[in-house]
Amino acid sequence: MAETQEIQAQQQSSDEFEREPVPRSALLGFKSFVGMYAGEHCAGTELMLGPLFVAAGVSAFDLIAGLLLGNALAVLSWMLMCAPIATRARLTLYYQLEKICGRHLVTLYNLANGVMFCFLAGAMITVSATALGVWFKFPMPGLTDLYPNSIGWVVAVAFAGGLIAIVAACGYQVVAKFANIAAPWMVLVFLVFGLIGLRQFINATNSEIHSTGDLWTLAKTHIWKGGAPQEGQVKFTFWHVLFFAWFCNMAMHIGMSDLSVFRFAKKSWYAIASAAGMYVGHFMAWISASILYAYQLHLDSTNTDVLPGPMAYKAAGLAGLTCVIIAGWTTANPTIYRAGLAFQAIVPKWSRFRVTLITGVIATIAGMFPAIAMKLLDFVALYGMLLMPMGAVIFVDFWLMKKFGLQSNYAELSKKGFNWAAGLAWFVTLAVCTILVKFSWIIDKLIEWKILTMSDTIEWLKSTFTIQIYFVSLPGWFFTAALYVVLSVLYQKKVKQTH
Amino acid sequence: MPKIILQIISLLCLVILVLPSVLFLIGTKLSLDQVKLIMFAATILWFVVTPLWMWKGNGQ
Repeated sequence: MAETQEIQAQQQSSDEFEREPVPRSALLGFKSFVGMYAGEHCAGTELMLGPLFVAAGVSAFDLIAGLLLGNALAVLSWMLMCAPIATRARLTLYYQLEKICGRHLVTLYNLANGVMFCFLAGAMITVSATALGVWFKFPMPGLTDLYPNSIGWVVAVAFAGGLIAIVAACGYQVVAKFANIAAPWMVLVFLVFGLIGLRQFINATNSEIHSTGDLWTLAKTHIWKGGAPQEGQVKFTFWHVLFFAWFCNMAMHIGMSDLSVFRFAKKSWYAIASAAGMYVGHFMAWISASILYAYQLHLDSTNTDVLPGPMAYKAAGLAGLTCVIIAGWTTANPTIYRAGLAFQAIVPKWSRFRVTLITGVIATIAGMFPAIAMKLLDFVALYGMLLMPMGAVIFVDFWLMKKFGLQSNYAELSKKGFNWAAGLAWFVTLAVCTILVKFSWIIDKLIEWKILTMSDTIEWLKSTFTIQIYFVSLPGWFFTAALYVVLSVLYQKKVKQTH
Repeated sequence: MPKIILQIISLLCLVILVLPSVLFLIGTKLSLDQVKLIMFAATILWFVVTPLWMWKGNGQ
């Protein structure tokens, strides 16, 4: 744990390696990364994501197989895409990006990253606020609610978020220390949720469990039954689960955010430590949380509310409720802090305290809107999609540019503040991905405005080219990579000519 | 108190946290209310004892 804290402290407080490669003397051992990933990926939002899988009508095989495979692909992405660059360049993501893209484009990236962190922290505050509802009995938002639905809810989120924001601004390090102390306890409370939920299912269904076969039958017939999703949710199949598990941290592995983490690793294979986070947080914790929600639906199929506070309280009493509060708090804290860091790069004259406090206020306001938490599956996929193209740019720039006879780190060499090849690759990819995700909606609007008329061809186009947000990032990565090379050929030639 | 004793108590807290739910799962006579009570006691003990040895070496 002390080593875990060591890596966090090195990342957050040390200025000495922000604009230079990490020296050999500062490299860290394998254990540091195991502890860090196990703690960081067992967050308050896991208590939302697990139930949302059930709300999406997932079946037992699709969930278990999808999570096993998707998490393995995520670990491989850290090992094969992110860590090899991190351990060779040993630079922060921001410095690496600045060399490739230029200072102005990095500022834009910071803004996008900061905004997404704000919303993510908002969802974590939402999770914590659901625990307050158990004590104060105010009406809490339902699965389909997009806006705050009671004064009590707004006050609870304002209280929880305000407290988290003030603490993040005043004493980030204290909460980081507390988070490390809470982590082993929190992981086990997540496990307990699953164990208790399972027994409750066995009791409620009068099942006899004598073998793993019996357990599997219970899982597929009562817990993850499949079928139609709840109102307003997308139906999840094996492929949805696989891609979601793979890409929910896309910004970190394929998007290269964790270059800043693995620059401290002695060897690139240390990235296998991410498996601790994936199989504890994104396997065990999701499954446990989903069992609690499935049990709630089993008792009352009309009670579709995804409220971690009441669910945890029913299963594990005050310890469960404490877990919800601490899980939301300890993970919202660094998220707000990181968002603050991203924004501070844009307004460097503002103090860290001021920026973090303002960021916390924005996250708190976001947390009042249950739409983010209730649509967390979509939001997380959007987060990955938004930042993924810059990961492709870094990957191509590091490994392939010289093979195409092009210059890597072009902004640094040409002293440009904005590498248009990288910028356009990012913007065009986002535009194409958005059009593909919204293609069906766009066609419907064009028909509504009488610009198009419905025909078999249009229907075929709609069904062929509409891609759900969970799947669009994979082709999007290859598209960005190819586009960046083509645009670099044109851009680097043009800049050379003008010089 | 020596650090090793505190670490053993912390470890015991985690065992006490999980054990009741395992017993509940396998169908012993332990009721859910009893499980919740033991878990809460283990939680309090964890947060009292663990910072005594983990806080100082944490993030220095």
